Amino acid sequence: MADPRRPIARRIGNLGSGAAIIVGVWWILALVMSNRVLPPPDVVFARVLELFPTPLVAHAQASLARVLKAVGLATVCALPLGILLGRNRVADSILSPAAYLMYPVPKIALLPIVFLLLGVGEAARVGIVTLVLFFQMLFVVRDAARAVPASYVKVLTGLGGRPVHTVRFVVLPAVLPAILTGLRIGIGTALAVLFFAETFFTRYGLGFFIIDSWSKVAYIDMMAGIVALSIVGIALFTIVDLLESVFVRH
Amino acid sequence: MLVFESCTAGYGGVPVFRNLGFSVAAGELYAIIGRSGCGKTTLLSAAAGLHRLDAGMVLRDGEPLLAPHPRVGLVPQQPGLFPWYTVGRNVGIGLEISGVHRRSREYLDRVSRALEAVGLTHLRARYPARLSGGEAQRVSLARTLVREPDVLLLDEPFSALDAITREALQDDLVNLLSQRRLAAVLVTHSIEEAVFLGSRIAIMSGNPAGLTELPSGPDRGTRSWSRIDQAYTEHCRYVRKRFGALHG
Repeated sequence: MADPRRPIARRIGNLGSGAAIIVGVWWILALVMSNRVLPPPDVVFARVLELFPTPLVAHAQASLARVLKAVGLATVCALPLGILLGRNRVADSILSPAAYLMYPVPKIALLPIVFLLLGVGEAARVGIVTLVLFFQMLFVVRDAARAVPASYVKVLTGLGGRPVHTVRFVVLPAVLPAILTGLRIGIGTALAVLFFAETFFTRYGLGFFIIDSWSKVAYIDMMAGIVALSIVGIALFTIVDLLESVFVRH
Repeated sequence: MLVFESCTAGYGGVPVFRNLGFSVAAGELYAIIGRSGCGKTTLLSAAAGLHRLDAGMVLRDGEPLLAPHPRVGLVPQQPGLFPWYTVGRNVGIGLEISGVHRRSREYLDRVSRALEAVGLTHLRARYPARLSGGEAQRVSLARTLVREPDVLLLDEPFSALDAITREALQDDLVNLLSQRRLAAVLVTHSIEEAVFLGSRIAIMSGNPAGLTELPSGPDRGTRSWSRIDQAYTEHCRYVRKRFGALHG
């Protein structure tokens, strides 16, 4: 059995060295440009500590909650549909072309429609992020379900397995790594879309905090918000990696 | 125990084999030798309830086998182990399908017994990616044995293994079959394997294929010969000659 702590320790080490490079480049740029739009990292980090916990935590919590709700909703919708498309030729031939046409449509362009349909509350912001994640996950799950070797299904059928057993013992475990890959790919885009969605009709969320600081010409606060949003993104990536190390051991 | 009655099957209306008939008693291993594509796997799949015959039927204790039966175990050519489960879970998967709870005493005992039968108790917690080809095939055999079958269908189970591992597994299978008094059908393209394991041997040939049963070698009831026995090598030569004659 793999020890999940080892990859995490290695990951923390890798993150540390990556962060050191980014901060170093940022520092050099700040020194060279000497522009208040790009304050040096020490000033920004000091401001992050001043804004912690209030109000930064509330904004980060709002953003994180929206992303997590969207992840849950997208998984619940994309997983069964992706398995259906991957394992059923009729369903695939009917539904996949429509999904294929929808996939390249920039979901952010649908934001006005989502606001009009779901209102200007939380549902719309979660809804637009769900849309982004849903299509990312749908296709990776479909392809993974389709790629399940026929020999596995034959073995299970030979042991008396019915289609429900095939899904439980073969298809779901086979698509789990694909779900996590879909999440990893989707999270970056989802955060970008969320950032934009949080600039409308809300006073909470890191997107709001960054744009609000920008409009007040509070560049240090703006950069502190960007750092906080980056931390949220890294935390989500780490959660996905943690899930992978726990559930995908083979 | 196991009866193949005028079995005919094919693909797209083209018969692969026609009117095959034979029976296998408890404790017997019926070895079928044939070239690739002659329908050996289709024949076993029909007995395993995975392929519908165009005509005829396979009966176990007089009962037609139309769907997978818990007492009929198929050991496929490729082990087909699920890489996301440990060896123990792979072995017990048939029990889970039958509704035996994974944490129950019955489940744990039966998985332990099956692993013990193939000598792999120490690998219970290992994942298939870390098994050798021989170990993987033993796990596949254990996965079949855990359901306590009285009929064993062996679809070239050792063909992908190296010679030394193959012979070790053949020896184990001989012991297992004689201990458990299973009725077994082995399909193979190895004449040596068929002669070593089979208490009766048949050659599958023709288009559509038919079966030609050969006389048994000496002392086959006791499964007593070793690979260096003269009787064994002579019988291999005889079977090879008949195989050559039937295939032109």
